[in-house]
Amino acid sequence: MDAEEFDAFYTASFTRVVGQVYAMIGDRDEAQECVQEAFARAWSHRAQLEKAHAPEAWVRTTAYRLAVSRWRRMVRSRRAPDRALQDGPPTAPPDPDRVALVAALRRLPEEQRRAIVLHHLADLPVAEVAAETGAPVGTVKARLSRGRAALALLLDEHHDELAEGAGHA
Amino acid sequence: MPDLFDPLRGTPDQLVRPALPADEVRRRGDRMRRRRTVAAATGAGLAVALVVSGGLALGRGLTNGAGPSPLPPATQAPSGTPEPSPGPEVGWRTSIPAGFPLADDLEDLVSSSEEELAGPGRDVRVFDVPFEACGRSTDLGAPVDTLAVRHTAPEWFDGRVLQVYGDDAAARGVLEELVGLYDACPKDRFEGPPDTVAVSTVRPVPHGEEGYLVTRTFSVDGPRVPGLELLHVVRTGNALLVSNLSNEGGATDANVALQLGERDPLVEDVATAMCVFAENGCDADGGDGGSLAAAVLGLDQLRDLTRGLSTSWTVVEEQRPTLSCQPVPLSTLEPREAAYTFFDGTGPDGTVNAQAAGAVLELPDVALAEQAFATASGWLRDCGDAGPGARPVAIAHDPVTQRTGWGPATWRVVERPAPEICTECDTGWIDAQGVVLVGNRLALVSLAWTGDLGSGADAAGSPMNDAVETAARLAAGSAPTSEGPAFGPRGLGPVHLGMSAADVESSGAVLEDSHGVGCTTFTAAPEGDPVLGFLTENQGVSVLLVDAEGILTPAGVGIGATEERVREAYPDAEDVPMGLFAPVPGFTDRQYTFAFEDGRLVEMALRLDRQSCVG
Repeated sequence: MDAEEFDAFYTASFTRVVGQVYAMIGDRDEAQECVQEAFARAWSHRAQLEKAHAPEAWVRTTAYRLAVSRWRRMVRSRRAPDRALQDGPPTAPPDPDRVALVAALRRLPEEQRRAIVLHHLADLPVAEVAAETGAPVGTVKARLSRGRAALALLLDEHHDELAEGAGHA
Repeated sequence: MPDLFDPLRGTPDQLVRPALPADEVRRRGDRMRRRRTVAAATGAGLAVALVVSGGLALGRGLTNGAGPSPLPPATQAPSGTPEPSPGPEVGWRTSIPAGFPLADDLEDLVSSSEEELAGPGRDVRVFDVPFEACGRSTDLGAPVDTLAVRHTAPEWFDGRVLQVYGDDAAARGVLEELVGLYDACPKDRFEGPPDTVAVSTVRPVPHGEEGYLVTRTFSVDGPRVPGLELLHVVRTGNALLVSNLSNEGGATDANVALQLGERDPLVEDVATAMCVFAENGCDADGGDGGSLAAAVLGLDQLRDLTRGLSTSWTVVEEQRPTLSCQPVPLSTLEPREAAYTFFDGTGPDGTVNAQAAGAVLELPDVALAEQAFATASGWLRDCGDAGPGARPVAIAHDPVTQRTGWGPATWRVVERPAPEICTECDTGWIDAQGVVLVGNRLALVSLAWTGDLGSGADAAGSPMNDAVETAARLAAGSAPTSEGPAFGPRGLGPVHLGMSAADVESSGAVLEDSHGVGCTTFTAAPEGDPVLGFLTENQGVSVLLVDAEGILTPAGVGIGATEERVREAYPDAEDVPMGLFAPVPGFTDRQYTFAFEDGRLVEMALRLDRQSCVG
């Protein structure tokens, strides 16, 4: 993969992968930082990336693993904030529906949340979700089924709260 | 569901801040690649070795030394800050000397937007957060002097603190609290989601008067995740070194070994410099040499070498030149450590009729040892009347070059008159002396006895043939090199060419992923230093690669050797791009390949013919 190909891949995928990792971990700042780091690693390991069946999955998995690393949180507490990330103008505040969705996802068990995000947000077929998470296809299907049911319940609760709020307003 | 997830489908306003430009991302990736490990530098353009994706991640490995005192018992009482010592006792050094080499390896580092280097300095803050494990915590107490350095980069933290306490008991107390904290907490669970476990292992390391390594890795919901902490805690006298390296490695045991291979020598260098805080200070030149004492010629070996001599040997304390041909003291060769022994032999009439000496010099690296060997060999070749007080040379026999089982040797016999014995006879001193190169050590040996002038002409019958072999064997015995054949002709230690994957794994090696045309890579540490290997289903182990110092071929070639040295050892070597290619003596199906940078050997490979894993 040469520089031009990588740049095109990065430009096309970055925001999308940030959204996916954000959905998985529930922290926008952390998600963006981890995805940024994952792309730098992708370039650093571009030989591996070229051999990977799905480069975006490689980046997403790397970012996710960074995000869940307990060690990472400890190291961050010991050093100054990462100055490699640019501080640009503040972006718009998040959409309330997006916040609610992420909050609901956070209430799911880890495996269900990840499967839901990969299948419904990243649009991966079940087999690819299985490959990315290292779980059998049947297990992934079970996680999706339970995850959907739980998410629907959680989002129904959210909508009910909003309706009550509107009623009380 | 798809409608439900539309708010998360990656619109730019979701970003907390603008994404980095692509070229900046690539630049950061390039820095990671350079920083990753040592041997990536050996890959470019080399026809005889191929850099596996991720680089040839080989480090120097640990030295094999006996551990220090047993681990202090884990403290059961809640930890707390140790009380400051009541005050310095006479004899303990209470200030860190100027120029203490806490971070010589970071000398050339310049802070940038990505990397920060703070220190070394007394006001650098490193371990602001107490060390915590299993709900307990401890800190480094109240030193009387401190020096610290902090190097940070994305996913990289390297902090080192040298603290001096009032006395050794205070330093020991801090060490025991810190090491005991982790020793009492092999698994630290953090309730999820996700459930995270920090696994800590504690073991002694041969640094300082007492030293320990705490290794922490992490797993999330079962599998290991990126995250590694290497915490070295080393005490000498009243000084304590705490060194913490934290980064994104640690996901595999092989990675832990590789990182430790790079880190441990840095810690060892600092720990060596801490000798200034030892109760008796650092050893002076010409002292007993500490760990080298066992590597120098001893009385038993001397008696074995001189059974035909009618003399009775005793150890003497007199300091004198080891070689009568040396014009200057051996300390001019600048060893980092040295050991010497001197002997007098007494004849039946009670007079001294023989003398002997042995010395082992340990140089900082193989290259410097080679230079020292060349210098000492030159002394022997030029041997005339040598230094002040040396007897004149009556007969100088030709120098002899000899290949011992551990390295090359030069020796020579010169004969000097002995007028103190008789002035009307041909009795003189038969003065035999030699030097041998063993890795980064130089062994010197001399034997002198009275006899008829001219009787030293028989080179084949000279005791020096055996003396240099003995000196080499002793020097190699406790050196980082292995005794006898090391790298080749069959392999390294228990890992051989042709071995199957199952046998490789049984030897303790870690198999990694497949690469290229059905090649599996593995990392082994059969002699302490990591080795990278390749194997296929058809050939088994087909290539072994070494880039660590201290591992030698049977001809005594090791990393750091000059090209000239390698050609001397392998006269049938042929030139290939950036290196040499040499058949393994005695074999028709394998060869060595040697890669050089700036005229020095940086990597060597042992490979089967018709292997397909490397170029």
